[in-house]
Amino acid sequence: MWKTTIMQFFKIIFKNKFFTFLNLFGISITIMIILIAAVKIENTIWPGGPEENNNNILFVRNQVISSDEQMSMGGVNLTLIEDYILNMKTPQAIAFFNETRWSYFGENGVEEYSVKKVNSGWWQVFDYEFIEGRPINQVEEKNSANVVVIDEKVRNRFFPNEKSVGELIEISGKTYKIVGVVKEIPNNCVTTHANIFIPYVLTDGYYRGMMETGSFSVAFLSTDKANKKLIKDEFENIRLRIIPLLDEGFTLRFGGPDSPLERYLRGWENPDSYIGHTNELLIIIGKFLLVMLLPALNLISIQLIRIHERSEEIGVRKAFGASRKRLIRQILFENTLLTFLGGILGLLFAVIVVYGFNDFIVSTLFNDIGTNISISINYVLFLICLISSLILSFISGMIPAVKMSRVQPVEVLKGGEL
Amino acid sequence: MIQLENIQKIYRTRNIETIALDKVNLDIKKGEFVSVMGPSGCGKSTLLNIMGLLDKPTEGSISIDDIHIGKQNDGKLAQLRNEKVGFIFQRFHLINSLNIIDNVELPLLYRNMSGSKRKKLAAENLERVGLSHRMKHFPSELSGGQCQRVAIARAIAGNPGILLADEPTGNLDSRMGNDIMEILKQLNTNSNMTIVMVTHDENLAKQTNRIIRFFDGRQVN
Repeated sequence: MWKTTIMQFFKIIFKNKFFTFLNLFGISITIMIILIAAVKIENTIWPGGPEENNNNILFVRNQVISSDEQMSMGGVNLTLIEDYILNMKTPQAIAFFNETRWSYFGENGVEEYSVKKVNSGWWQVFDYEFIEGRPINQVEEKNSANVVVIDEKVRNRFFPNEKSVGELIEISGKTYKIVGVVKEIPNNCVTTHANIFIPYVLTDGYYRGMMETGSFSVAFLSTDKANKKLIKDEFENIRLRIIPLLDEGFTLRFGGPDSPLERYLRGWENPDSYIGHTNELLIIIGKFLLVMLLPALNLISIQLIRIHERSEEIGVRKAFGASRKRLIRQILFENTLLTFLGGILGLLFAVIVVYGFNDFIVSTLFNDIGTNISISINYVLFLICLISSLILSFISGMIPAVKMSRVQPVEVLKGGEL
Repeated sequence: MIQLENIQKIYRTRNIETIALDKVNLDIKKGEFVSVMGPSGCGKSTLLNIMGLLDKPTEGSISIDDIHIGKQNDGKLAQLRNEKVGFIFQRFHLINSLNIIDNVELPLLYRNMSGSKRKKLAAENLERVGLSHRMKHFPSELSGGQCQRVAIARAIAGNPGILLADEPTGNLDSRMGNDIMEILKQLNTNSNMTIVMVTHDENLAKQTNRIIRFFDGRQVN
C-alpha cells in the first residue's frame, strides 16, 4: 500500500514539475541559509584557534558605573583588575587585555597591524601555537621588560626567511625584543586575534580611579561547571565589596563573567542585563521560527492554490472509495515526503556552498582572506531544521488536506447540471 | 438492487431554495440496464450522485444491495462506494499525472489487496475494453473514446454490482459513442451488471431495458 502511495507520489511530483520546484526551492533554500548563517554564528561564538577550548573560559567585557542620574560604560578599570580581580583564588588563570593599532609607514604606504596589550596570564588562558620562541613570562612582566610576541605575518614582513626570536623590532617609537612568534590567528577569533602582543605594563595612561571605567576585558580559565560557579560567585563578591567604595548613590555592574554563548547573546550594547539571557534567547528562537514560518506559509499557499488543480483527482478518489481520513493521510504524507526531500536538498546545497566554495564563504562571512578559519556544517542543527520543517509541513499540510478532503465529488465531477 | 423511497433533494442558498429532486420513488432490479432522461437541470445527475452515495438526500431513504443507507460515517460510505458502485463520467475524469494502468488500479487501492494482484486485475480489465496495449500511456495520449474505455475499465476493476454512468457518450462522436454503448451492453448481459445511465440520446436510451424520465425534479412516466 505505502509502496504504491510512494510510487504515485513520485509520479505526481514529476508530472507537476513547477509545483515541485516551488516547494523544494522554498524548503531547501531556507535550510541552506540557516545552515550557512549557523556557520557564521558558531564560528563567532566558538572560533577555534587559540580559543579552541573557550567553553572553559568566562569573559568579562565591560563595566558600568551608574547612579540614578548618571551612567558611564566602558572596559574594566585597571585598578579593579590589579587590586581585586588578580587576587581571585578560584580561576585557574586570569587574562586581561586591551587593544590598539600600529600604523607602519613603509615603502608601500601605511600598513596597519593590530596590537594587544596583555598580561602574562594571557598565555595560560588562551592556547596559542608558537612556531618560534615562547610567551612573555611573569618575570618579564614584573620587570617591565621591552619584549614582544609577534605573529607569522609580522615576522614574514620584517624578517623574511629568517628566525626572528632575539631580534629587535621598533613599534610606535619603542624598541622591543622578540621572544616568540605565533601562528597567524584567524579573523573570527575576535578576542585573541592580533599581530603583535606586548606586556600591558609597558604603556601607561590607564584610568585608575574607582569611579572611572577602564579599557580592559578580562578572561578567567576554569576547569569545569562547578569551578565556573565558584568563579562567578567570587566575582560577584568583589562587585559587592567595591560598591561601598564608590561615591554615594553609585552602583557597579559588569558585563560578565559570561560563557562564550552568553557573551554573544549579551553583546556589547547591553552590559547591564546581568540577570539571565532569556530575552535574547527568545529573540533568537523567535527569529528562527520566523525564518521557518516563511516556507511554511509558502507551502500552505502553494498547497491551497493546488487544491483547485487536484480537486478533480480528489473527487475521483472519493468516488472510488477513498475516505476523508485516507485522503488527509495521503496529502500529509505527500507533503511531508516533499519537505523531507527539500531538507536533504538544502543540506546538499549547504555542503556544496560551504565546502565547495570554502574560500569565498570564509572571506564573505568573516572578512578574512588567506587565514585558516576552518568551517563546517552543524549536522545537529540540520536535524533540528529538518525536524522543524517536517513539523511545520505537517501543520501547513493539515489545512489544505482537511480542505481537500471536504471536496464534494459532486461539485467537481458533475457535468455542470443538477 | 437499488431502492429509492420518497427521495427529496433541496439545495438551499441564502435567498433561493431549489428543489432538485422531489419525492422520487425508484426500484432498480439486479441486472437491469436503466436509462434516465430529461432536460438539463431536471435532477438526473443529482439522482445518480445520490444512488452513488456521493450526495445525501435531504429526505427519503436509499437501499443499495439490501443495505439501508442511513447515518453511516464517511469511512463506511467510502467502503460501500468502493465495493458496490462504479462510476463513469461524461468528462472521463482520469488522473492525468498517472498512467492508464495506475488509473484503472485506483478503486483497488482502497482494498486490502497486494500490488501484484491489483496490477493483474487492472490489466485484465483493460483487456476487456481492448486497451491492454496502452497500459503505460498517459490519458493525454489517448483519444476521447479510448479515455472513456479506460474510465469503464476503472469503474469495473473492483467488480462492483452497479455501474452509474453520467452521459458516458456525451463527449464523444456517434461512432465512439456506439462503441461505448456496446461495451456497456456487454457488461450488462455477460456480467449481469446493473447499469444506470443518464443520457440525452433517445437512440441510446431505447437500447436499455427501461427509460425513466424526469422533469423539474419529478419522475414523469
